[in-house]
Amino acid sequence: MAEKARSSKALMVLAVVAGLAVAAAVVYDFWRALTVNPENPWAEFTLSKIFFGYRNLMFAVGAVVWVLGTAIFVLELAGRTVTRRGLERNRMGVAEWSVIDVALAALSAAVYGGLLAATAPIVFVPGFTWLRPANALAPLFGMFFGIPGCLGAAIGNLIADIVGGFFGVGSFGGFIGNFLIAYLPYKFVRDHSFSSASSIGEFYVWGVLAQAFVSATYICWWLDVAEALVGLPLFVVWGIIAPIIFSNNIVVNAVLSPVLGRVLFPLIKGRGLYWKDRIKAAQV
Amino acid sequence: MEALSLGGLYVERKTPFHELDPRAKIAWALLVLAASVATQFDGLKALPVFASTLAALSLSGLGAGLALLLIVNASAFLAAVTLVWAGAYSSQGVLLLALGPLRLTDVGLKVAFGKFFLIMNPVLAFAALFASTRPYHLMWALEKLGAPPKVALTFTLALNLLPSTVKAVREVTEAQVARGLALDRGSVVQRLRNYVPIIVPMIAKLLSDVWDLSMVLASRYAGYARRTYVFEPRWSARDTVFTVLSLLLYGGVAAWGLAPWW
Repeated sequence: MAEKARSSKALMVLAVVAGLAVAAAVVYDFWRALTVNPENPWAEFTLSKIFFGYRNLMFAVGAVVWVLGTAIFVLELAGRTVTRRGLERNRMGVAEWSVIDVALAALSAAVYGGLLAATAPIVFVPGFTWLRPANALAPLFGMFFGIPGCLGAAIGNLIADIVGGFFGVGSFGGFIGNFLIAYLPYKFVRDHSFSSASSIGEFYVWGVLAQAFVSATYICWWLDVAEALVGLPLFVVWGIIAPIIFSNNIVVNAVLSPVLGRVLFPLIKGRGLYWKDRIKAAQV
Repeated sequence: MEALSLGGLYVERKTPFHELDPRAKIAWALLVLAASVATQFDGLKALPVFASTLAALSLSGLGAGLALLLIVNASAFLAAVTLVWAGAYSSQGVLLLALGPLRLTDVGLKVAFGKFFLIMNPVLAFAALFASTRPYHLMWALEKLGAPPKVALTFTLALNLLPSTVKAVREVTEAQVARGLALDRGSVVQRLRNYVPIIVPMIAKLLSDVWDLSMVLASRYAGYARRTYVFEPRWSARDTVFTVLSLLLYGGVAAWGLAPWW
């Protein structure tokens, strides 16, 4: 038993190290690419080479992610969730929402959209790419507020798109893509407190590494399919946008989300707004 | 920080645009988006769409001042778009300007303006839509268009809360900067962590607002049963004329944008 706990803890530490290492490698590699080819760093950036070089593979993976992600989005909002025992009630479908769920979803959306709209992006390489600190909130809304928080992240991103000037055909991908960013850690991280090795380790697996890949492939597959409407060349979709989404979500969530999660979890639990507590209370 | 405000983006005016059915205005905003998508490779063809969004802003009583402000704010974006797309189309068309590595051709300039209008036109259209439609009517229209009532309520509430949230973010940022927070100093990690003192108070505000908003919603019986509306907009002949004219204008522009021989 003790041996199993030790190996589990070691795996979690490894996940944290891997998450932070990938984040550091992304920043370093872009800096290196800019040094080697200042006029077109994307041609040197390893992530661009992977996403665009293996575009056919990424397209196939993206198609699977898109179908599964969209199905999960519809199912969860309809009140059903996939478990090992098949489809079960998640007790958080939109039809079952109380006024607290509506308020949580609306306020999560307003805060997420407001922070995206009102905070200046952090330029990590001048003139080329930047990080959005507000993105750190999306996985936390999912973990703390459940499905209302996931939908809040999706609506917040949509509103930021509308008022920020990025609304278009591509926004559909961003809408469900942001839902999935919040959904993956909500669904797969068992302990949402950020106060144990397993909690932080699982967050780095699902809330940092997995969500960054899933959101990048989901959004870019949609942009690729809708190329005629969106008007972005495939190199821009897979060689620039996919690495930007991946880099931003990896770096911001690896650095900022665990710090925020550690501070915010006791506040949210203390106010009785943590989703597991609310479901338990509703059952009683 | 001010208390929970649901003022939203709506501006009370008595104008022809305000009196249109919200469904007609939503259809119009989506047609603007479609026409901007169709003309994204030729800024000249996107000009009538741009002019129509300015006219809509003027008809909704917001005036051209707001449009001018949005355009001035977007000028840096226009410069960036011009640089990127001029570079991508530097080998096509007639050379207009050569500045070092930058080669601006007529084709590159048209594409750059097309891409700029692809962003600007929907922003202006949605600004006119949200500023001229009561949140109550927007929610009604979303429900009529098939959105689940609680999702329509959530979207409308979030949109209404946005201006006060943006204001609160700015106030918290100013307060923290006055206390010595330097957002633009340090390494990437340090600069990201500098946002913790801004995000945490925003979430603390959210947590207190949740109960206030929940009580407001519960007192109005929101979310317990199917919502009914006392003041339902009525589709009139004016809405039909507006929608048909919009279809003709934007359909024509879209056909023009997609036709390769024009």
